Amino acid sequence: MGKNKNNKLKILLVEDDEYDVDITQRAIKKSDIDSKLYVVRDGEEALDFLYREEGFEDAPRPDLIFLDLNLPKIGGHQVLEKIKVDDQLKHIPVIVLTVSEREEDMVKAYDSGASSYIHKPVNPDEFGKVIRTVQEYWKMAELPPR
Amino acid sequence: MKKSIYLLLFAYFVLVLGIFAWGVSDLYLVIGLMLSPPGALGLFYLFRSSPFTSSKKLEGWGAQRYAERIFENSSNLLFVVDQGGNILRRNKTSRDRLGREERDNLNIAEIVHPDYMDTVKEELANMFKMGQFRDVKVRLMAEEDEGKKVLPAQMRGVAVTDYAGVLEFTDQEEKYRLKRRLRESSARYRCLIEDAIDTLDSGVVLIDKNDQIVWVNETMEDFFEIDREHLIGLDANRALRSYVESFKEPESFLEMAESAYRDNSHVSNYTCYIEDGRGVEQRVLEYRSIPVETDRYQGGRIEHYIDISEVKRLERNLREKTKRLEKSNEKLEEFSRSISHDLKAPLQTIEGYSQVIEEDYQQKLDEEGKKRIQALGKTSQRLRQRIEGLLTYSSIEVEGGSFRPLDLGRIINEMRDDLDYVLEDVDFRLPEEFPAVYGHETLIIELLSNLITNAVKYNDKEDPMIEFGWERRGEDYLLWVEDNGQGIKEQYLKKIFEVFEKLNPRENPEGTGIGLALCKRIVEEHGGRIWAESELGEGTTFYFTLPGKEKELAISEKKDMDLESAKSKKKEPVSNR
Repeated sequence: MGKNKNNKLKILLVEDDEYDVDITQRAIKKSDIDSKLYVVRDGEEALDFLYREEGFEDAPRPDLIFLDLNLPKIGGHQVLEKIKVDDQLKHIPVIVLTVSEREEDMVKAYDSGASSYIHKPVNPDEFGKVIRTVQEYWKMAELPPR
Repeated sequence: MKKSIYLLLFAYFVLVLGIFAWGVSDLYLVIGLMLSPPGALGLFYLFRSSPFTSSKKLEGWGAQRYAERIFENSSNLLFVVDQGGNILRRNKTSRDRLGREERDNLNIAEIVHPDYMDTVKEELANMFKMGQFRDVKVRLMAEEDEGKKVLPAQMRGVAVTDYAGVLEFTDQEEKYRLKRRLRESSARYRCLIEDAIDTLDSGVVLIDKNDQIVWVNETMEDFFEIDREHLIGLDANRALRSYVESFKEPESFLEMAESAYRDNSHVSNYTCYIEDGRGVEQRVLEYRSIPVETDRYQGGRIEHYIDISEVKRLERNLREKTKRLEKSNEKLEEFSRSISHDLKAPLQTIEGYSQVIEEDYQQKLDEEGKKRIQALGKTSQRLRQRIEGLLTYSSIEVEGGSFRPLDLGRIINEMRDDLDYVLEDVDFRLPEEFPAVYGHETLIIELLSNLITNAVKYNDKEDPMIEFGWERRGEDYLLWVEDNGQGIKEQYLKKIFEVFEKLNPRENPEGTGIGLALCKRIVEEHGGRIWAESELGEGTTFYFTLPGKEKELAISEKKDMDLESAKSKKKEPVSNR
């Protein structure tokens, strides 16, 4: 992965479900976000990626994180908490993407410092819409300087 | 002087007779008045000079007539006697009661029982000496047709002159009889009540105001393995200590009971656990101790020990059962949650990918391919919806607001589109109009699509036909799905509604065996019933009833499916990925 081409938005997707990864990739590809998507499959990998450990020594610092909540090994909530208490990482916006409809999951995610909480739509087209909305939002909001 | 005495007397008698005339029917009062000193004085003057032979002086006096009437009509036996006991005159009652012929020379000795003659003689002498005597018990001898009869009486007398006095006998026979009967009946009641209390399921203790145990019932002996004879007469505090050792917590019981004795307060229910020597619970008693506030045992207490072991046992059972049910409910909820996730997620993937393929490979697919991909998406969507419906179903509360009026026409038309692939080449006949049933939409869709799919699945004809029909039945509707399929043997017509019952598993491997069981449950959940009529080789008709409007829905009594118990709580099925 090493060095990135200039202005591409580096997105880290933390997601264990093959289909969701695929659909997210597709939706991002279909949108005109100039981005590079990095995918990790569980919470442990996500933290390794962020701390650049255990085979992720060359991982870049992502500009945006899509985080699933229900993850193997280390859960999404825990990953989010770790990110938000780490001075090096806490500025990275985290968008929680999940199928969970439990209110407490949402409240907990926002409490831990999630920038946004989005229900993962079932329909791929709906998914595209979500990504476009996120894109609109990030176009307007200035991302923290890299 | 004489005149004034007569005047006084007259006034007295007017007073007496006035009272009498007012309706004071109690002759005792009048007689009493007459026998009281002024009355005696009156009589003295009345009978002063042999009133029975020459009472001319008084003839003009109405008073004498009244006195005569009082004398004659008294309900007591009255005699005028001389010192020798010779009866000078007797009244009607004495004649009626003693029944002897009228004689001039009748002596008191003839009517008094020989055993009492001495007493009577003594009192008679006393009377002439002291002027009167009161209330002596004697017995009289009555002469009746059947022979002599003893008559208990109470005797009193007053001397009217030096040689004549009045003896009055109050008949005691009735009184004695009543007394005897009262004694008998109270003995009987006492016996019955004691027996009843002895055989009560509750222990009963009666304590007097000095804290002494007056009575203990037999049940107490059973409860505490004590001898009641030892308890009776014992101080209640000491008695308590003699049996309290079988209590689970004797100290706190003693403290409570003794403070209630001290303060004379109520104990309305105190639960005591009685154990045997090894600490095994034998019975649970509810102790009540109530101060007695009236009558003989005022200041004492009545105590009850009521056996509530059975109630406690049932309570405990119920608690355990509830706990188990709650646990199994939790498990079922967990189960439906995991089903929701485990079944829905792959379906969403299939659905999503079929959409992706349809979109992304539009150019590469021909019409048939597109159609099949669409069918794939639709099927998985329908399956997902069905799972969602079932999960909702398993967690619905029957009272819940999910029941509403449904337009069956709309539902069937939508369903026909969904079942397009199933109904291909099927002559699906629908009525022109549809009823509005009252029900749960997801369940009704499930019911109808199951019946329709079945009708197609088990149809071996070349031109399969399905007809949906209905008619009104009062406030309800009778509906049916008829087919011209292979038919069902009569002996299986009931069996097909059982869970996992498949008549021809080899011929129809794709069936789950749950469809008709589910239909039955759905119909029953709507307060209706479902049955099938069939002719082998000709076809089958499934009839079912549904309500036309809201009514109290009976929960189906037959617990056909385990899903039943999961519907107690409504919780959104949750899945995390």
